[in-house]
Amino acid sequence: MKDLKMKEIELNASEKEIKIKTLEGKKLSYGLIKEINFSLRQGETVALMGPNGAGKSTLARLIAGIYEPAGGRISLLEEDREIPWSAVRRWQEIGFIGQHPRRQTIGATVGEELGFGLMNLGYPRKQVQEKVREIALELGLQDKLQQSPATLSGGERQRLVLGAILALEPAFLILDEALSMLDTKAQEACLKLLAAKKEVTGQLWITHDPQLAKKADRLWVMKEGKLLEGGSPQDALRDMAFCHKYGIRTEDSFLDQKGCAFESDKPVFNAIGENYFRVQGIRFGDIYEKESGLIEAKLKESEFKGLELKGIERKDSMLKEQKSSEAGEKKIVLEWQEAEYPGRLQLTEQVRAKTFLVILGSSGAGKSTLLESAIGLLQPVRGKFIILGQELRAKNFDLQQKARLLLQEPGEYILGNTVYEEVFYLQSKKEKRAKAQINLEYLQVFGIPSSKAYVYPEHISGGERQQVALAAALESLPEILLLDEPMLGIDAEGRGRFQELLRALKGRMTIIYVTHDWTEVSQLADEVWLLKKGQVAYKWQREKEQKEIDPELLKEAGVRC
Amino acid sequence: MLEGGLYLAGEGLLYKLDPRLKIGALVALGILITSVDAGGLLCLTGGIIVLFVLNSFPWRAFRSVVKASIILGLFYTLIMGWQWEEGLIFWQGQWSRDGIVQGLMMSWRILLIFILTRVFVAVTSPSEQGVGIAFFFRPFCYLTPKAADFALLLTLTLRFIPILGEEAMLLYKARWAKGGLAKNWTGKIKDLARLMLPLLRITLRRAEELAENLVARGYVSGGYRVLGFKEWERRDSYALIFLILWSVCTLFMDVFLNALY
Repeated sequence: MKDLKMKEIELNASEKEIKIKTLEGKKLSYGLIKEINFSLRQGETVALMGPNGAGKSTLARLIAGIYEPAGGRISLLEEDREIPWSAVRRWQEIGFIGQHPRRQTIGATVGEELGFGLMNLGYPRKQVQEKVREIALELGLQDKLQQSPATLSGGERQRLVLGAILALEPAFLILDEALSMLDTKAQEACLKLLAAKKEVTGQLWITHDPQLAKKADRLWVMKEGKLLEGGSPQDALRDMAFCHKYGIRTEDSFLDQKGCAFESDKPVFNAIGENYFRVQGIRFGDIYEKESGLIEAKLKESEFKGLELKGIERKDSMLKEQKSSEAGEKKIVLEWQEAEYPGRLQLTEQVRAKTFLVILGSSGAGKSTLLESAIGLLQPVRGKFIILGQELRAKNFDLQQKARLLLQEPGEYILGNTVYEEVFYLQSKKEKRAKAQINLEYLQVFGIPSSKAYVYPEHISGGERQQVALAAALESLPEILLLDEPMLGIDAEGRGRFQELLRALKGRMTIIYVTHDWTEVSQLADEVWLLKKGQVAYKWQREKEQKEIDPELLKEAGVRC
Repeated sequence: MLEGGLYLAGEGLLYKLDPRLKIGALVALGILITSVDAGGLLCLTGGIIVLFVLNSFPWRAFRSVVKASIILGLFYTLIMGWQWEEGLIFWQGQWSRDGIVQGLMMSWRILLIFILTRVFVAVTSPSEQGVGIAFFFRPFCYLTPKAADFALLLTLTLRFIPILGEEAMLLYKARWAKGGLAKNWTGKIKDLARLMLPLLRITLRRAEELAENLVARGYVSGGYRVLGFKEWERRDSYALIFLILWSVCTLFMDVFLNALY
């Protein structure tokens, strides 16, 4: 019976008579979202931008039919005929793709993933198999039909998810930061797929990336649950005042030398770096006053009596560093001696103290593995890894304490039950109580008000969770800071604040920054390693090189520049 | 990583066989192991040794399985071998030859089942296992749609467990990145205990995402149908013939040796 019905269904969309569909929302409300109106037409692409916590993802889920609106209504219009929302087969009409490729696959194999939706639509097995083979060929995955999606690279996996959704031939497609985690090559491959379906789908791209937004036909901007029609993205994203007002990034919005994110001369982020060192100075005993030559004097005057051990240890090491830097040399803090790691990483490199090192490379080049090796999470199977002059071994916990790592998507992996517990995770209950005042002041440096200190991490926005994770990573005044794509999914204000902080940290601690977006840190980098297949394929040092890095070299490696 | 764990990547014949055949073989051989006596077990052991030689599995992967089987077998043999009559106390008993033989036979069976299962998971990825299991649930789906849900549940579980493993690893990394790692055992246990709540939180989040993904692909209760792409090949037919011959041979050996002694 089912099969008889199925035979009537034609799989090939090109033979269908296309009636233009429009999605309309009127006075739509849900949580933060208050009475917004919108209209998305089949055949157009709309970019949706706005700060973290503005309600973009909630709106996307409302449109996709995952959430039911609390107020107002959504309707689907076919030409002029309105189809009631309750009668719309939403999952078939509206495809939804989230940010993380790893968490979106259902199928046991690539083939099942591509055919899962079609099977649910009721098509006969043979027909689905043929269609799946056809789609896999388009995606370049024809040889991987029997492989698990887990064996694919991030880029391949996102293409797979996109292909699986496009196989259902939805009239609308919603991408909730679906391309943000991909390197430029993988992103281009996905954009090519989207462009091929442009005429038959209405696409909504949620993004913080102005370069991507400029490829859309229209711009929507969201702030505090309100939706605003921004017109042409090419024009709107050139208007600095507009971008500033709505907290969205422009291509030129990276911090200038004054620490301003936008064209205005007013420093936007209230000197986060300065505040950080001021508060840490109080917490750890003004150790950063060494910069003005006061440490030796203060030590003699025994002004540091009763300071925390951590502060004293750090001070001693800084004094030693000061002496060696006065002698014109920077000590080597990290050294890989013919070190080989599982996952093909092979390194024979050195990192000098207080260098701002940027690691570039495409997905799967070994960037994150390098960071894990630097913190001791991975031990070399051959060769040695030396940190601060000592070989790092599995049980050498003290050495592992010298570096702090900020994982990719750190907001997802918060361990503390509250914001306060997360940031001061290593403090005992007694310490947490005794130092409450200065701890709260420390949180404020990162824009976390006292009112949010004791809330559950789930109750704050993604951008705020990112700030919490950053505050936690810097809490102990690390000598080496390791950052794994820290600006993923952060809005303009968050990026500006973060870049201001990086500017302040530069030269005061060793920073290793992993990214596939060179524009994030091009002004800050002292040294760059370009990783390819687990090896350093190209090195660049600001003080030695006359020229900037060749953009073609970066583009070829899938790095945005 | 998701396909890692007990699966040992390889190119041998057992890897290339249809997962439906592998699951069927596991069930059939399992039934034989639990039902035949020494003659049959001897034949089954010989067959498993041949499989080992043909696929050259690393001994290390089977070490823990053999250890567990020996401990379990020893315990069982001791329990079966030491017998005391009704009315007597435990230490007034004596060793029984029949009991020891029975215990040793059971130990043999345990060892074969453990090794066979380990071989199966070593050559069948979780994704293949899912496809195979869902195939065997197909007949039940005609009886009740709940069978389709159950098949999906099983296959999703097979895929969800490795995802959780990966998430647990990321949580561990997050903990490591904070520093201050405990050096002693009590501290380590406390550290691990503190990770339980975040792991539960993340499990619930991932489960919610999985549900969203299912909704986005139009899954409705009772609607799961497995979609396999592995065609039945000639080598699968040969393997099936081998399995049938092996089973017949096992039964014959069992009957023959039983008649002889």
